[in-house]
Amino acid sequence: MEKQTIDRVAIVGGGTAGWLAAAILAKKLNSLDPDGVQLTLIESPDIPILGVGEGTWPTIRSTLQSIGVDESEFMRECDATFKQGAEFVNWRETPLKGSKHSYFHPLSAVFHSAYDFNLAPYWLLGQSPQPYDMATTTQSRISRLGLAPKKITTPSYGAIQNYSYHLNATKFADFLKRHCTQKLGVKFICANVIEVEQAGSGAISSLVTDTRGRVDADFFVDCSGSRAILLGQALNVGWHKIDDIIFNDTALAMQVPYSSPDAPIASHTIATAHEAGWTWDIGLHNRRGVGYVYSSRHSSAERAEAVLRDYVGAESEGLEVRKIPLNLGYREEFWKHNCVAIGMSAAFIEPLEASAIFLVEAAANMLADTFPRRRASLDYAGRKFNATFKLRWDKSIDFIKLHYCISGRRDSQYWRDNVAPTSIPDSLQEKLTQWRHHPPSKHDFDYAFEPFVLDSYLFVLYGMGFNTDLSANRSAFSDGEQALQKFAEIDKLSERLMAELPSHRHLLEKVYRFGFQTI
Amino acid sequence: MSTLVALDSQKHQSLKLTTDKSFAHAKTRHLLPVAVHEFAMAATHLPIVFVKDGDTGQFRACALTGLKPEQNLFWKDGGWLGAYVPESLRHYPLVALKVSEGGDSFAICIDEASPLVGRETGEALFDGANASEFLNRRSEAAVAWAQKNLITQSFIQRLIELKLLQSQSLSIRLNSGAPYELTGCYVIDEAALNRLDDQAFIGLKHGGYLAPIYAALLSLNQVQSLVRLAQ
Ligand SMILES: Cc1cc2nc3c(=O)[nH]c(=O)nc-3n(C[C@H](O)[C@H](O)[C@H](O)COP(=O)(O)OP(=O)(O)OC[C@H]3O[C@@H](n4cnc5c(N)ncnc54)[C@H](O)[C@@H]3O)c2cc1C
Repeated sequence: MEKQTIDRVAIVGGGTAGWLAAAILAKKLNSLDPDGVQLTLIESPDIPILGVGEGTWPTIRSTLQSIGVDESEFMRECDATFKQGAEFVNWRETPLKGSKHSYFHPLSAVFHSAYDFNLAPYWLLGQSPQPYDMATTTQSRISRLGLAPKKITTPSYGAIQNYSYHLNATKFADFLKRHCTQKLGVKFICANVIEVEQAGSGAISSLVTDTRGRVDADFFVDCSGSRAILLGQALNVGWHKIDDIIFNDTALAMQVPYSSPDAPIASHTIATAHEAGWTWDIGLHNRRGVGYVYSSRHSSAERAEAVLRDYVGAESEGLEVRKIPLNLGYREEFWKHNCVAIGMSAAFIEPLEASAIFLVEAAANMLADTFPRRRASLDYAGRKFNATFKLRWDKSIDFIKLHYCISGRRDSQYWRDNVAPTSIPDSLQEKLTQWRHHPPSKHDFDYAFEPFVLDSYLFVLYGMGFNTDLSANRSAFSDGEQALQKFAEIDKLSERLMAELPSHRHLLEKVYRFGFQTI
Repeated sequence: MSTLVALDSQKHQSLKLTTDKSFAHAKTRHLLPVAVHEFAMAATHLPIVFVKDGDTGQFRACALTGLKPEQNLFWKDGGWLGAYVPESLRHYPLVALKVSEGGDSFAICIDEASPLVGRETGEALFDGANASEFLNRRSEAAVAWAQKNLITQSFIQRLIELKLLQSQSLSIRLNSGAPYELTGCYVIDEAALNRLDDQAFIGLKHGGYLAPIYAALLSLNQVQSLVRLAQ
């Protein structure tokens, strides 16, 4: 007879997903207490982690704080920098030779908060002379100037402007590993899982390793990356591909040193559109991480490498390029029997909005919050988990596709294919039709856990020059006074912040040297 | 603008230092660093608060001498008011700075731009290539002061670890003008102090930290003296 309680969890995989999930679970399920759920993480000594996810969301701050990490120490050990959003370059239309245009998708919308008072219609009616991203937030202006989101006197994890981090993914996994094993009571086994043993019900009963024998557990978390050795291989759960919607299937990554020790460090990810994809450009403390995500159906590998090197410029000479195949999509189920997949094993929807780590945190949090301590609760917890994560991934796909399908670029087959109606999910088409005459409002977002909220849609739509025709409905927007006042407040606050905030690099040097106070 | 440079027996050989008992260099400073050793004495004259250094974010213990930036209510009509002169004032324009972050040797630095520094009047810093008697005395005092500061830093560190500091803005109400808040000050959290478990409390006693903790708490009554001076 199977045991009726779930007291031991085994996690397979020691990438960002594995260690982050281990930390969140160990903390919330209190693994240090002998009566708490005991966690063991198994990692292969032979299969390296992916090690490329360098962009995070602001939720990472509360995650790190809650698992007891010191912010300054984490930043130093992971070459981390502050991220205030993303700048989208050349997405709106085909750039004229030698010129470029861009818009920001900042992490905060101070004084904008479209939930309470939506400035978008007033902006559409011409009440601000500035582009949407600059008109409605201070943060776009702050990060455009290369300023930091806070000061050295701001307490750790506290913010003046909302922020997350850019980080070295390999160092981050190492850092979390030390934290988990030294402070949170997670046991670590370095071995290859070579066989998965199942009970009659199909549930997993134990894992057989090559050098450390058999590991028994009551519940299993598959963080084995794209191999998905538990959920995908042992439990045979299929992969739902999305290459009919998002065409990118390859990434080329490169590490670029700074030209001088005091070169400015961007406090946002720079995402630049190219003929068959886009490049990311992320400033860490000691180097940049740059890469090209593209569609191999629309570009040869040689051509793609040339695009990347051309973007980086002369500095790319002699630098090595790493090629990473991408298989975009998600599992048909994320949780089956007593096994859940988190990380690349569960899903991957390209890194355009850097949402993968955020969804790892969300999954680990939900697993911990709804953890089935009794075996009988497995079904219910699993059903809930599957339903919400299918929705979250579908919503992510819609939002990512939005960036491509409202672009005015037609300079290559890639961009022409991206606007084909057959490549746009119905759920997105329906919204776009509505937004042709009504600005997006909170009522378009009915689900509490949608990863991308109203403000994000507004930044992308109006940053891309999407046209919402309000001419038939002007009368509904009669609070022009209040809107003008808010636009003016944003201007005033921006001025103050510009005078007050240090440059990004300047603050980083201070954080690395002195650290933040906790209060 | 202070321009601190390490003293150099070549470059600074002919420099002289005058002594200014009015401490004019502090006339626009509303915060003056104090060491934990002087808390008891300072507390009956000046409020002691903890503030973050704008440059490093690290806490420092300071006596509050004004109710707004650039205001020093203890400096009036060309002289220092009040019976207590914070020690830090007496060392100016000399400062002892650690040579390296981890090490324990100090270099004596001087604010070259200070009006107290000159070639005509005052006491000579050097006697030929050697430090003068005067400089030796002043350097020793500056090093002793730097060491007191290090002890003050460990004291503050302990307060932070025990979560005994809390941010507090001081509400200032003067007869004239609108009431306002002086922000950026941290004070000892008396309730948290009273909640400490016995072991932690005894630890403070053994560290010699109790007297300065209570001194800092009591010193807050002196905010009223500042208000009186400001009226
Ligand atoms: C080009 C690119 C850019 C990205 N950018 C971002 C970004 O900016 N932001 C973001 O949030 N995400 C980003 N991602 C996604 C992010 O990299 C991943 O979500 C993250 O690395 C998590 O990976 P993982 O831990 O699931 O898998 P991996 O890092 O692949 O780890 C798998 C682990 O499983 C172990 N393993 C595998 N098989 C076995 C076995 N048989 N036995 C024992 N152990 C085994 C391996 O040893 C390894 O430790 C990006 C991805 C790509 C490809």
